[in-house]
Amino acid sequence: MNYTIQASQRTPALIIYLIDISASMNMLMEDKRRIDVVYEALSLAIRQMVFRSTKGNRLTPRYRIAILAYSDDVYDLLGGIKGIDEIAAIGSLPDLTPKRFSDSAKAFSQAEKILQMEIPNMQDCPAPLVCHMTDGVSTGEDPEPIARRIMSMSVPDGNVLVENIFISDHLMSQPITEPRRWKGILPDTPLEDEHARKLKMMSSALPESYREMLVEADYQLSPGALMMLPGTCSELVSIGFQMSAATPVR
Amino acid sequence: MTRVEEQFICRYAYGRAAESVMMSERGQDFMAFAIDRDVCRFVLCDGVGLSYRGDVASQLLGRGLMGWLHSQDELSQPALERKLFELTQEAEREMRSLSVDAKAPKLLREVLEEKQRMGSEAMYVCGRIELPSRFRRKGRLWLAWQGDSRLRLWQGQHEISPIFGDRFRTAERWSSKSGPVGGKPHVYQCRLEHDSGYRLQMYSDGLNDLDPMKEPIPDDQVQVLMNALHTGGLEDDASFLEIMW
Repeated sequence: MNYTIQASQRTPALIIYLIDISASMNMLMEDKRRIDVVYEALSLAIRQMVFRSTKGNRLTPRYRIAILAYSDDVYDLLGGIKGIDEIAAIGSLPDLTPKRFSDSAKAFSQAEKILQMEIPNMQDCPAPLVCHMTDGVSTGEDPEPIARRIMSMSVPDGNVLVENIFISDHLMSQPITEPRRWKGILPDTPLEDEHARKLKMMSSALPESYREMLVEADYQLSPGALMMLPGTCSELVSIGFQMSAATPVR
Repeated sequence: MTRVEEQFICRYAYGRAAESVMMSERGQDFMAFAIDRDVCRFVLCDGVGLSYRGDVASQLLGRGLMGWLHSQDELSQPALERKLFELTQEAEREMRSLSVDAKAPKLLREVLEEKQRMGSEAMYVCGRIELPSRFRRKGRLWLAWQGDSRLRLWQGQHEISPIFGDRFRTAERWSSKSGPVGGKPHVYQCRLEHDSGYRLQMYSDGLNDLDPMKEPIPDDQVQVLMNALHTGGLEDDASFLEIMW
């Protein structure tokens, strides 16, 4: 239970992205729509996975990915779980088009079903990760009980990890001026927003192996930091998506 | 597992990662040794899988170091460092001659081209053992390394590896683009107090199951580790070299 199994062709990592595509994702962040910032960060994370999956001239499928966009419904953007090699062959990610509401409970529920199907066959693999990106309050049921159930699912490598990226300007009492020097959200970090506090309860502790990978990429997150990122700027959103792909590889 | 017995007894083994075997690809480790009467020189390189074509770096570096260990009367850290920089010129020519498959998907091609620009990397351990002779009253051991490949030494039954210090770091390696990365090469040298009874062992991190083993490991046990049936084959390339004298 220490999150050290390496993602390999025989033991690929499973990452499920839950992307909020509610209408508020049309709002601007650094002169771009939030949804476009997310699309770019997700594309960069996919590129990072390709980078970490090439050996020689070959792309080894070390990652398996599902992308669920959600509004008042859930949209499976890849049509099931796809290997990183299949995604690279497609070339680009499907468009993310903002819709109306933001029912994250439905998205977590679908992720739970995927995990229930997959976990029995993942006993030698790295612990799966669910990366949730949202910019507001859920409009449906409370997602926390479902997220808690997901976090209690496990493989020998560790419990399923849940990460939250919360795009909001009102999350932290102090602005984060240097994302690369930022220590992360710790269990006792005060958060300004009630929804952010809920997401904090739904965020796993950052495994040391992931933290080491991020330190190698020059991010200074503290031991004990949570897998929760305040998306106050595009770089922090990007760190969040990079965190999701920080499964150890050789 | 193969054994060569002359003035030195050498045992060596090499295995490719199950993934590489499955895809009929070459391994990214490189290992070589040469015995010339009372002198043994050796190198073990572990190509960095995440760099571009780690096999290219490990082979080029390994051959380069073997030649250098042969050509130098006196070995020193500054001379090694110069050699490591010198090798980047040849490596860059080699890297330029490699091309990324034009038919590869665009994203993969872009990533490979980016990696190619960043260069190929390998970790290494190398050295030379000189036995006492008419011209040398005492034997001499010279070792150098960068990276996390293991290097262990026994005198009689006692492991004396702590003399190398805590200087085996994953972030340190040789790059085809920039030479030594993460610091200067580490060097250890000494006169050998005894004429015999030494066992020098080195292996790439793919064989880290050997880390807790202090007793001499029988050939068949090394072979069991190489076969790695318990994990369906090796998870990483593995090379093992042991020199006794």
